[in-house]
Amino acid sequence: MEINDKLTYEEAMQRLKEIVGELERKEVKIDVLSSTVSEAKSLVEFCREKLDSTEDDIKKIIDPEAEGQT
Amino acid sequence: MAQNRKVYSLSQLNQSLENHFTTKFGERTFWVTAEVIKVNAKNGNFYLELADSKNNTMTAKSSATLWSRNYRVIQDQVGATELQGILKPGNNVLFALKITYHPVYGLKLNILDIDPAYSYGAIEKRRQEVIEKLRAAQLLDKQKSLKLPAIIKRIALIGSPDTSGFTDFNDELFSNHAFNKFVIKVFPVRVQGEQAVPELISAVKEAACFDADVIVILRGGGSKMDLAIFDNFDLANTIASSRLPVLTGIGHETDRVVADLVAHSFFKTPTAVAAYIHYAIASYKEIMGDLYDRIIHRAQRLISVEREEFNHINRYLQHHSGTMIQYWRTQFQQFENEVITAATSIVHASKRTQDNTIHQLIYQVERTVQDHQNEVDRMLEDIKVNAVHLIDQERKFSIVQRIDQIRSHSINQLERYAVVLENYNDLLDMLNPHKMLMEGYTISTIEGTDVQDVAGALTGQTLKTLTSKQLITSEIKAVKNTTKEDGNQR
Repeated sequence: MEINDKLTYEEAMQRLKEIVGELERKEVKIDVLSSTVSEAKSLVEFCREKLDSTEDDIKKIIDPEAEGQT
Repeated sequence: MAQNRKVYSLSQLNQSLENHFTTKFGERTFWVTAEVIKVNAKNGNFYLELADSKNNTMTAKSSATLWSRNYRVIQDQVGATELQGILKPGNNVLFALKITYHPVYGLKLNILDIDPAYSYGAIEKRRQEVIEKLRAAQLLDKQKSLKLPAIIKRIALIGSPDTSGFTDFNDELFSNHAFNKFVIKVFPVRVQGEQAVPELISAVKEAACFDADVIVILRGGGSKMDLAIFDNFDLANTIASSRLPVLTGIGHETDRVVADLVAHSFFKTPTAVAAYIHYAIASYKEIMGDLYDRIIHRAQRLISVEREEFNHINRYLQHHSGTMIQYWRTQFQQFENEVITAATSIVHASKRTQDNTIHQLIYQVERTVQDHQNEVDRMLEDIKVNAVHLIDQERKFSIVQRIDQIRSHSINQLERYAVVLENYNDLLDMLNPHKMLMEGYTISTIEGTDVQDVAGALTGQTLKTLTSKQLITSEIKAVKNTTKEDGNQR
């Protein structure tokens, strides 16, 4: 799955779950294992970054003044 | 005929009337209901015109007087504002009065007392009629369908600016509440008297064209009679049909007029209307604050749930990618072991076969070697025999011959070399420059190059001439070309 602006958090998480399922069911061939894990890694980065930025946004909304201090 | 007529003077007539009235009615007090048509006050005395009507046609009309003395008595009982409210044109009033007749002023009703309950009753009756009419026209609840905005900011204010109700409203509205960015458009109207109703109606209509959130109608205090104007059907109809919700703050705590009933919401007093507006805003703010908190809480909750799931998935991912690799490693290991065992068994097998073949090979080789050995021995033997034979032969003939051949060959070769040498010698002798110099030739050179080989102009150059005895260095002055056309002598 390609990481771009159109990618949504849900899609990324869905793909991550698929990968975990495939790994769990040992369906990932050795030839594609590294590419699959690297795809998973970029998806993880994407989701983590999305979560962090959303959380920051909410913090800013809740306490705009505090934003100045952080 | 004319002679037996008894003629009176007007005075006599009126006098007798006066007497008649005094004797007949003088002492009697009558409770009379009548509608007040006109009221004039002078020096504390009230001069009224009363009337009665049936089906909108006047059936009786009299003037009445309420002397200040009686006025004060009634006022103490009924209350000043109430009394003033009752003594208003258009009101039906129950009077206690005496009939008097004055020769000059004619028939006069002298008001002694008023029973307000009757007026109120009349008002109530009229109010009920209006209410029925409104109900029939389904106007009573029309305003209720309108939606009151959460924040009432733009207000079309209908009332009389210099009345207490008005100031109470503004005080309450603009006192230090959290929110006071109100936009008020005042529609000043009279809230008393005949002109009040038409003014109120046109104000409500006009207010509806104003970009307002609500229309507020104020009428602080006032007697029941005064407030009766707000029972007017046309006014109620206008209010009911107004496109903007109407809030009413009319009268005192207990007063309830028709305008209240058809309005979107009614309040006890003008102040109460302002208080409600603030209350609506405050509660709206509170609701918003609560919603805001809940949204924030929900958002945070959502984030933590998502993060939890994310972390869960992430851990799973790391675990499984690890186990996956482990799995493939073990798979690989297994395969490797299998390969190795297979390979080793193959190797062993092939070793064994190899050994066998080697053994066979060795055996073969040994045998072949042996055969060859034998062969070689045999050949050796032959060779030996042949060699000996050959040698013998050689010794007998061919060696001598060979030697002779060599000798003659080499002599020839020597002679050829000698001749060649001789020739070189002569040539050398000839070319010996010393010999030439001895014969008188000279060798001229410029910077080591034979003058004949030097290209370009010679004049001015240094010439070295070698003779048999000397080396002459000179400078070329002139050069003369000595060659003839046929170029055979220089």
